[in-house]
Amino acid sequence: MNTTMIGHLVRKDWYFQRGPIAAGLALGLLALGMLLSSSKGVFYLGSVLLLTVVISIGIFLAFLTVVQERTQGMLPFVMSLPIGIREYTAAKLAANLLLFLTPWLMLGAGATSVILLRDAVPDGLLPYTVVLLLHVLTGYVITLAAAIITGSEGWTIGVMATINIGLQGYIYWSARLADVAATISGPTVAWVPSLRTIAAVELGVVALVLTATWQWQARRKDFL
Amino acid sequence: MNDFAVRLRGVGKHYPPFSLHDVALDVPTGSITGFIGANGAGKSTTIRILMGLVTADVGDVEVLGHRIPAATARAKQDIGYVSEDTRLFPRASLQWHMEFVARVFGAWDADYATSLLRRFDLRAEQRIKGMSHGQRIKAALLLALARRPRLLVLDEPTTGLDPVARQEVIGALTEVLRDPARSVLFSSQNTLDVEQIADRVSFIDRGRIIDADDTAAYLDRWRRLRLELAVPGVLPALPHVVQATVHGHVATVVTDRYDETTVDACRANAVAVQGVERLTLEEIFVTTVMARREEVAA
Repeated sequence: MNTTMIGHLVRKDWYFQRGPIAAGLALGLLALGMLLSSSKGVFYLGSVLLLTVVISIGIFLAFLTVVQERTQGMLPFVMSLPIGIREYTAAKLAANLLLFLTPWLMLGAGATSVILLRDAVPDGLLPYTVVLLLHVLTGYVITLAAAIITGSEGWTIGVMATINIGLQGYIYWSARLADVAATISGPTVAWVPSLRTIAAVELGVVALVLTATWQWQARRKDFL
Repeated sequence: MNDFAVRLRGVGKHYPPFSLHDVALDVPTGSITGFIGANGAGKSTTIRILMGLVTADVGDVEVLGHRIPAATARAKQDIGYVSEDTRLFPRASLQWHMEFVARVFGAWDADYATSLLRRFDLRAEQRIKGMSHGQRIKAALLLALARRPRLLVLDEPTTGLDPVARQEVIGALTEVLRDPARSVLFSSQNTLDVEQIADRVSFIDRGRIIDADDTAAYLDRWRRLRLELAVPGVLPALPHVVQATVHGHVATVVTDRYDETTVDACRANAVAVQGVERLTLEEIFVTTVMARREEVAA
């Protein structure tokens, strides 16, 4: 596989998406600032904004780097370069993971720091926050896979909408699990069995979806 | 060096309800091969197969000595490809695209790119978003040409252009394509474009290659003969007649193998030759397609 070409394509996506990523990071920093507020209302709004920003970054990335490149006709130009379907897929996965994980890690680190450093916020919230961020990562990877495999706006929107409609239910369900509910407001960080299982499943789904996307694309016969 | 830049043999692809059947296509090294077909004839599918973007169900595909699709990435090191639906990144300038392509292709010729900018009347700093369709096609051609590819594959690059922009593109191509080291496959449904620049032509219709030859040989061997018949309404059997219409004493026949024996054959059958006319490539193409369709229907 031509890793130099993959590098060129990753840098190309980074160049075009640096604006949206910077805007997302700015909004994320605003949300982190709101988490520092002593007002419970502002804290709540900050958490919703932070979650929305991270989810939105993922949606924008899947659309701008994959779907739009196909629907707006840039794909024939990209595929005129000395690459095959495998190099294209590797570049899209690498670029997207890099572009998404950068703000995801930065904002995630910010959120966990707020939890650990602020006395008013219970440390017991930290594992739940990490699991919630992993859930967003999982949703992003599934949306990205749908975008890469189908290249279709309709399918990608459908998958993204389904995942995000389910988010409310996921939050409601996971926060009410007995061992989670017992520790989430506690003063110590407790990785209870439910959260460990959910985190492992989410990481497993991420790995499975990435592998399946790679395998699917590698066996694909028709690309344009 | 290979004799053929592109060689397809027995290539088939089934896309319900469309199918490519047993496609054999040659682009001799150093030639400019026109690939002519109506909408939906199979031109783009054939080109996508040789570019490794679509995999043939059956057949052999070799491009610049590389087997496709196995060695697609290696083959594309030496291919410049522009299709009708190629779009550049709208938010970036042409300069950004030139720098990007220059990083990818070691053979990028900056001086040639500068001369093409002037020839195509383009500004490097202009964003693609602000360009007309004609300018975008010329920008894409510049990016393909300045990498100095051994094979240039142009899939209907003039479709959708207004007549002035089309003539500009064809004029520029005629000038820049005269390089014996470069092979070109140029697909179009516009036979006039192909007639101006191609030295070889392949016709495709309904997924089948129906004829292929040198452009000059085509234009030379196809003739329309206006005849006066000895017996009204009765056209004697003449060799190599592809199309014939008879109205009383007057008949018009089209032959695809005209030479001096054609006129002799007419005279031998007591048919007076009133006139002999050359056909345009478009007339040749349409006649070939219609004759082929009638043959298949029969």
